[in-house]
Amino acid sequence: MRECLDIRIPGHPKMMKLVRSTVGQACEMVGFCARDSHAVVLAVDEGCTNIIRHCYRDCSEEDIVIRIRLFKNRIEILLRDFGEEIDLEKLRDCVEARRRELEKQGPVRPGGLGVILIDSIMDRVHYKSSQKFGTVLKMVKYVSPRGEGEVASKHSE
Amino acid sequence: MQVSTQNRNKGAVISVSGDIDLYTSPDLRKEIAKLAKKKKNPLVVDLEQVDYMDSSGVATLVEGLQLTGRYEGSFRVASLNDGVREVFELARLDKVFDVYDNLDQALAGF
Repeated sequence: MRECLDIRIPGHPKMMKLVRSTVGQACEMVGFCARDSHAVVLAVDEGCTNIIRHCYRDCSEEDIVIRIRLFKNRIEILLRDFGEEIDLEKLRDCVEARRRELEKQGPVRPGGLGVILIDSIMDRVHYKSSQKFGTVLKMVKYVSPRGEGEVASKHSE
Repeated sequence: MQVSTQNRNKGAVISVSGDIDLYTSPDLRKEIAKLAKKKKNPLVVDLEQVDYMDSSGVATLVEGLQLTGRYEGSFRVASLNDGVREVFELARLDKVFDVYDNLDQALAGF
């Protein structure tokens, strides 16, 4: 099976409920357990939220394009924005710094949780950014062989 | 998302229902800030009727924790469903909050 769905939504927070519903149903079609479906939905929500907040700075008229590819053993989701090129090295450093901060259970602060969630949930995460084409975030999640929550097993290790 | 507040002695309970996401979390943030300004203690957020929460919801609760911390108030969250609890765990903030299984437990002693 390889099926593909493209949706284009305005970069507005009120569209997130629609995105979550669509991604949730796509996860069901692939055969994810409820726990992993919820996790994938969360990762996509976080990806879109980051675009709205950081690329479009909460006030853009720009769209987000979401491509959902369904496979027998996985789901692939691509999020494309039309914002400015992002510094991927800086992004990686920020994620690592935030992760270390959370691991150390230091002083708690609100920001930077979305990328940590995406990274924890998805099996593969890849960013591609350019001045001309904006940024594409590709996320892949494999169906857990025995239907057990990958997120749960990852977390308990 | 809907938010309703009940005063309980010197404290308050914010009951939330629906989804807490980037679109709705500003309303919850406002309510928490309003009650923290009144130095409500404890300030309990009851999440029993919350179907979904993303990192903007978690961030809102972190802000609540910070605001109540300024007057040494107790900030508590109650009745997390599995999905919401998982967001806390994935964000590695499950140990940071005082989490209670239900509202009665969250209010015990007050």
